[in-house]
Amino acid sequence: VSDLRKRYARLLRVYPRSYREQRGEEMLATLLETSTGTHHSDTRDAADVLIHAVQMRLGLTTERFAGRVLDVAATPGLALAAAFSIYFFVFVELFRFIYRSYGLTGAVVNGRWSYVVQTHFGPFSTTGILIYLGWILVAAGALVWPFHRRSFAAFGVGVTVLAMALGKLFFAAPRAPLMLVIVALALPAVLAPRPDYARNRFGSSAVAAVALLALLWWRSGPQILNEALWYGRGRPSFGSLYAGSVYDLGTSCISSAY
Amino acid sequence: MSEEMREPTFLVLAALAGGRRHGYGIIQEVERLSDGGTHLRAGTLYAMLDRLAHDDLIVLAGEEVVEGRLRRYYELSTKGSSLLAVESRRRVVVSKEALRRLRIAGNLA
Repeated sequence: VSDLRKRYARLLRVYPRSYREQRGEEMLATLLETSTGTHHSDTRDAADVLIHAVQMRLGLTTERFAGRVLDVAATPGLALAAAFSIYFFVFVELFRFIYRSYGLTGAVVNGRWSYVVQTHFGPFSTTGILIYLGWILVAAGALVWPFHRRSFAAFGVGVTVLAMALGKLFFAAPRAPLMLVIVALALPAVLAPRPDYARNRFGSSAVAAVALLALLWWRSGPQILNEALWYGRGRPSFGSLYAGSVYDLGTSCISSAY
Repeated sequence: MSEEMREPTFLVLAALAGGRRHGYGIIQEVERLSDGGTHLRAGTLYAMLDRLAHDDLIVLAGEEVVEGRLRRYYELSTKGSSLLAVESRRRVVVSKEALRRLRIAGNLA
């Protein structure tokens, strides 16, 4: 038992000193009582303590300002990730899918002919389609079941990593920078403390998502549609698909996403 | 607070409804109340106790050393008791209505 006490005491050193002084002895007693009858530390108990300790060190608890900010930003962040996903799903993957179904295989990108309608992943260009659908589902899930937003966000990050790896290894992957933006938007949901109450974030999330979609549409949507209409008449161009949104959002990464 | 309360939070408050308990006592009572469905781990429990104390829903109710181990006891504050009562009544109303509808539909096992 004294070995176990030592192991738990070592584990509790991950907490900030002030918290350890306040709670250390009490937590040690609880951990030891929980593991009564066993002579080894439970890995899941240890992982649970580690997560809490890291949150304490980073100030990501609801008692701290950073924790409260993350709590407020978590669901709208997922909604923004979903808005990006909807936009690129519709205006990149879906448009290319439609062009492809008309037997068109290329377009002029920045004045240069490119085979942009090539399909590398089923009827779609890249494994990005999995990522976009994943984040749309994640945002919907987090809005309906806010208690599980961390699990949903972690699922989204997992799908993104997996789809990127699959794309790089076997098919074609969207370029990493846009994916990093999407994952960064989901980080508050991963890092935020667990909420005690299911606060309704639908309003702020909807406003954030609609504002981003409007901005993206305002900067590049009409050109895309115009070019889509022109596509079959010998004047194809995808160039402005990238130009507008990048300019305003300062996300040059988006321009290189495809 | 009119928002829906998370289940583990409700269970911890309910565990304290009968009087003061220490950390491990809360873990045991939550497991009993949830029929083994919810097992709180130490990190999660103390994160929750910190939040509930910060929101003035629970207060410290003494401490003692038992077999060389520190036990710190917690109990519901007046605010915590009121909130638990409101949440419990809300759940009772919803449950009763659900059972009534199941009975009418003939789906009550």
